[in-house]
Amino acid sequence: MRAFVTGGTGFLGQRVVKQLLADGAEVACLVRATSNRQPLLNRLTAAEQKRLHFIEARIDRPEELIAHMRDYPVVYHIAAALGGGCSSLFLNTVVSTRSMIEAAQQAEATRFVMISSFGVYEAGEMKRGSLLNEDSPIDSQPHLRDPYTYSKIAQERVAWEAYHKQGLPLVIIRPGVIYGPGRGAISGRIGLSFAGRLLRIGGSRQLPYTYVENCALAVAKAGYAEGAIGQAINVIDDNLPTPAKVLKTYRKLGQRKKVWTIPGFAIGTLSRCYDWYHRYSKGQLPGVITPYKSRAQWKRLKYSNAKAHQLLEWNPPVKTEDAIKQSILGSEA
Amino acid sequence: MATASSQTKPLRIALIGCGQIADAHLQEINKISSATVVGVCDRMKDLAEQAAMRFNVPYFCDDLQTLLSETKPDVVHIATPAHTHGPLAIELLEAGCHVYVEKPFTLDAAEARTVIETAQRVGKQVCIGHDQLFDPMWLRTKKLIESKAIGNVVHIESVLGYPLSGQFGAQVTSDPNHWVRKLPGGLFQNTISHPLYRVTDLLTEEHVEIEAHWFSRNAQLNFPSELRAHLRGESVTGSVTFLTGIQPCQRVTRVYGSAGELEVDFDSQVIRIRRAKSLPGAFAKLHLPFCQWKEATGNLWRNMMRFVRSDIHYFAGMNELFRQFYQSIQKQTPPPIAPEEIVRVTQIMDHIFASCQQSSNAPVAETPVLQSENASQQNLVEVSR
Repeated sequence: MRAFVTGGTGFLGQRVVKQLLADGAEVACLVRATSNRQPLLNRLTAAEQKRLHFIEARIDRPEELIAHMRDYPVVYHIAAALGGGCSSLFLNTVVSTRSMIEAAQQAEATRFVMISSFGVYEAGEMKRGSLLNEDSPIDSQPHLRDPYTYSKIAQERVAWEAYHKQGLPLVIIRPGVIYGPGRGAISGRIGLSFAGRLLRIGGSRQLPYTYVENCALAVAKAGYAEGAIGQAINVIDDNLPTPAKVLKTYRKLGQRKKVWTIPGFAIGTLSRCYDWYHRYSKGQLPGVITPYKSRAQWKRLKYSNAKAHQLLEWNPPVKTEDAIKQSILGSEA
Repeated sequence: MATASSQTKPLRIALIGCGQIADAHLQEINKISSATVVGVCDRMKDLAEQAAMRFNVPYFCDDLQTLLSETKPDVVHIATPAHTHGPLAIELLEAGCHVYVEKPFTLDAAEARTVIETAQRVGKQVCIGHDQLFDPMWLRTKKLIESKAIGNVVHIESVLGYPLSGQFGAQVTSDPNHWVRKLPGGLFQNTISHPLYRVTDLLTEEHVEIEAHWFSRNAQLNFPSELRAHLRGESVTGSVTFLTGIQPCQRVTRVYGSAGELEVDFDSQVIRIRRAKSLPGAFAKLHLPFCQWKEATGNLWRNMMRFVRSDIHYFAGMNELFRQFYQSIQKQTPPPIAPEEIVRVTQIMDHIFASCQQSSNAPVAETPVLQSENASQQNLVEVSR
């Protein structure tokens, strides 16, 4: 296989590139001139490095990408903005995806694997305790969500439009929270950071988490799994952890976090109060918490990864317990 | 496009360029009852759409002429990249709109004069985004200075700490073709307006000598990232310091007077005053910390009261400037920032960059500098700051 990868020097991208090379692929990695390539190279054997090619081009200029995609027709579009303002997220996620799709169409790419997010679902409107899977509806009011999720929903909309109207050979991967060494295992799904403390929201619901190595394997497989084109696939691990379990592991490993716990039942009322104050004070405190966002982020739901198991023949190689430990200790399997 | 009869109605505001600063504009305009946002526009329609959706703007598009014909705005805010400001302002003025231009006003003073002349010819108002002059802290500073709390102003020192690792800084650093890198004054043209106008607001003398230089603190950067400028009027002097690589990134101005010193910190929203010592010898060592403690207590109390009144907002200055600008349009009074002042500040920036180029014997950009883009050719905006 000859794969064209964006975001290959990033947290997930490094592992996807490693997986593809380990599977015997030739990989072209789109990078900026200023990208730090060393962490990626450090993962690779000398033989793997020979099959890796760096391409310096601008992602927002399709004309610079087409010839490369003709040579490497399986496209993995992993690059995306993770933070910043909404306009910046749209520029670096939505606008760049339009460019990538245009290039892929002209180069007649055989597959276009795009990394979306597990957050795109309208989870807040689902019944408590119900099952969230790929058939669950996408959020119909994405502008009310956080800017990152909004940008990922808009990115998907662009990709699906190209799939339906122009026949883009699209596969969408929706990973849960990707965690691993270097990022730890604490995320906004557990709670909020405030004044050096973690405000933990509830403690016993499942967290839609995926360990970075596990996720990378699923992403790599999406490039060649039969029947994957036209599908969206959730990638979350087996035996999902809970906030209490993650924090307990931190404690066990001697890394005690300063935590204030907010009971799950109180978050609705607190969100409404915060949202009221945000509006009353005309934005003196930022509108980061609203009832809509809280419901989407912290509702108790069940999650399924059956489609990833079946369609991608994917089995997460790292068990959740080990994955959390490795993430906390910063070591890799 | 505004008619006399429409002046009592809320002004119809449109915005072009839906980058980062556009969020602040839309947020603050939405707080003003005498204005209503009727449309937003960006060459990248995705950016226009997200801005419209998040701020309840009824119309968005990717074409300026369509925006004008569909929304018929009284005022257009220009929040596009700097090299498009001049041509867009002229096009919008000719189309009958009042114009608010984000800083920097234009690429140079000649272009600024053309914009001002166009506004005067067509009878429309122009305003520049020197919003920190309307921040509550600066307004209080001006009152203190007018009351001679520090005597006569002798020197003004203005500091801007800029995070190159921040969202926008990282983009500029990683992309040699970024539009900011191609401005005649590079990164500084897009950023030094704020510390500079805090100096020029107090250094009002007609003849100002300027000496400046730029350099790169980090050898890996292939463009200047630091700037020091010295301004010398007949009796007042000033300095602008643009710093990268410091924490916390500061927005601070110190005013030295004949009877004391005043420091205004925009981020902490505090003003500190240090007057000449009034007690002798060792007593002064007790008196000074006591005065500082008393002042800190006063600042804490003041900010607590402002918090209770929901009066602490990062873009409070922008909000006040918008209000005054809209009021000047509706009441047909002079704009909050005089056109001559807009040209003067732009001219001083020209001299600073010329002095830097002369002293370093090298232009800021390794690639050819940008010329103003013809608005109709450019049509609109890339992405804003």
